[in-house]
Amino acid sequence: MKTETNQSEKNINEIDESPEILSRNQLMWRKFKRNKLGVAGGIVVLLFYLMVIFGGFLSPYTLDHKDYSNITAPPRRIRIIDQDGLSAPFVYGYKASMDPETLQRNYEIDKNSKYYIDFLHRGDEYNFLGLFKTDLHLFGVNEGQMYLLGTDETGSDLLTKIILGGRISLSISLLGPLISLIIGAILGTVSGYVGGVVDGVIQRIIEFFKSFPRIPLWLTLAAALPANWSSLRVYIGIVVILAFLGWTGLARMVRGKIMSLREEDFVSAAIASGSTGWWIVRKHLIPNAMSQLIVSATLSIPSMILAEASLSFLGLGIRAPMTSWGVLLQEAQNVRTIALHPWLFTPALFIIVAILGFNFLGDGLRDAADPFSN
Amino acid sequence: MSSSNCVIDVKNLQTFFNTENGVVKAVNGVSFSIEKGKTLGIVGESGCGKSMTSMSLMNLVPRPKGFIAGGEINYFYEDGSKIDITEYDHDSEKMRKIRGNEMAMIFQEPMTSLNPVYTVGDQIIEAIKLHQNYKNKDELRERAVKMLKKVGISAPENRVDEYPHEFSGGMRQRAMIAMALSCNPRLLIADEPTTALDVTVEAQIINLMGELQKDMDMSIMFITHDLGVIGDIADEVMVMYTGKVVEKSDTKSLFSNPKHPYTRGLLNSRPVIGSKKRLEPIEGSVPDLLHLPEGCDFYDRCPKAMEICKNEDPPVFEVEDCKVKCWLYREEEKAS
Repeated sequence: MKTETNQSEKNINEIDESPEILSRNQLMWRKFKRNKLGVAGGIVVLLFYLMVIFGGFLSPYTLDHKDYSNITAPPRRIRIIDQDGLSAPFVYGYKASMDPETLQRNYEIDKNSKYYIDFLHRGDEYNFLGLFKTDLHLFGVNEGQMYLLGTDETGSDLLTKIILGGRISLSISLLGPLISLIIGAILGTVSGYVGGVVDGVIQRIIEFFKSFPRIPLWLTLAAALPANWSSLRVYIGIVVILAFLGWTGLARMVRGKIMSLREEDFVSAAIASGSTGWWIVRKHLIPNAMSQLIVSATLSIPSMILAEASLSFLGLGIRAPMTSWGVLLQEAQNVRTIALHPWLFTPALFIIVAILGFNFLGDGLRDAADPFSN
Repeated sequence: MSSSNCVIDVKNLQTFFNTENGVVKAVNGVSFSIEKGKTLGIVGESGCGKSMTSMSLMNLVPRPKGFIAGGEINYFYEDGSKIDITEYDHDSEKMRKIRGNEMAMIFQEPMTSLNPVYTVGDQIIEAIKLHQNYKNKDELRERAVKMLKKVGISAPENRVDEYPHEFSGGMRQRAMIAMALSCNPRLLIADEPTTALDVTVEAQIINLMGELQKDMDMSIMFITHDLGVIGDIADEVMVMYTGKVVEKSDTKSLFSNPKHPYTRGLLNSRPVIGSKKRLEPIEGSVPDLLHLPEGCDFYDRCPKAMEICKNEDPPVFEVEDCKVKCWLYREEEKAS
């Protein structure tokens, strides 16, 4: 007991000796760290981005790898125990057979073929982040196959497709909100600060955008992308379309924030000391609105991921050979898949986890950024 | 009054507001001038046009509803040249150069007048950078530290890097004063600067302002509804009622010999330490500025109302160096 008191006294003294001056960002960070769910969401998001950045290295195959003898093979798990006990990590091979009546492929575990997993495996060549070519993968098998999440109807490894498809899904989720943020911040600030007729016009434009049914509008715009465009251009086109439709909510939020900040005394004080309007917007209004801006941009990421997935699912988004989570789900779009190849739905699981992660992160940031909550 | 010693000279200022129900005459025919190094106190109830007078001086009347309908606001520069502020657009370069540099303002709410996302030092530096040609960062910082030291903040070298939330109310008001004075303004407009502070801090701030005034030879226009504060700082006091000046005199004679019934009412409704007399509030309330009575605006509340007060608005009479807008002094002026 006594030592405990001494301990706490010591702590108090330590605090007194070095009074720490915390900036607003540091305070926000402290508050964010206390939110367990938010931190967990942040970690998930971080892992997802690391996964797609190092996608080529983490995935055992490349997108070009097609195994026609193992189409729609079910997932196989990594085992460390075989008939004789403990072993180095390995996967069993498949024994494929075809039902002569239904032409249904059946795969069974072939306990005789055992493929050991090779770490830092030299496999198919890929381009690492567009910087250099390498054939180094984190893991793979030297002979036989290893399809941890199964294969799709073209015989591609689903794990590889999900990791590499995440690139598109997640990069859209960053680029889209960034463009929305810029458009929304500019128009929202102008609307809120200038007010009057300008405000009215911008708000009516926002209402016009918002009153359109969303999916038909996406479809129309996506369908307007020329069919002969390369998949990269289509990708950029999709980002721009989603961003141009997504700025409205953000602009509304910024406008409200700017309107309330505009009436603050420190703005009057700045005017009274001879500041210009532009100076006030730049120096006083935007920095004060910045944390809320970033938070609402984070919160808009999940809807971007979903928007991309919906478009691709409907066949109007990203096109093969590019792949995204939505494209992968499109391939699982029929009853036969649900009945026979349920593993083709694993991309949906990734979408759900990513969106939950972003939502928790966004909620945590929002709570941390709000100076009026405890 | 010789113009060489005068900092600001306001003549018959009229600041009106267009509202849905008609024109509100927030400031109606106010005239005054402030000499160099002197303090003018403006006293009055809420809504009597005190703040609008100061906003008009800065040419910051809330637009688009408010506007300066008439009168002159002559500001005299250091070199003696003058500028009529009412002739310039509120957003013109010339006005911006006057604000902060020639005339500075401190506000009622020190809690919200500082931007929470910047350190206090940054905000003082910002005020300096707006008007002065300092380029060097160290030099700017040094000046900010000097200003904080001047307004009596201890350990200014450390405090300069702190955020407004780390300052107490009194310290924030000191920081606001430091910001306002950072460009050596010749006129400081203080709009109820101590209303939000507790009494001991109030006294400190008033003393500080007095010292700085002597130090920098600056004029102060001090707005308040607290007569006790006015007695401490002002050389001359102007009492306002419904946008008009009802009495103007030097501070001593205002307290010893108040003339207008409204001024007397204000003084009687103020507690005096040691006195066992009951406080006498002024009966009634300020009339609606949209529906002012035909005669004297104070008629309904005045204990000395006469027949003439009901029908005719009194002109300003000069009695013993004081200006009083009350029919009671019609005879005295003739006599003197």
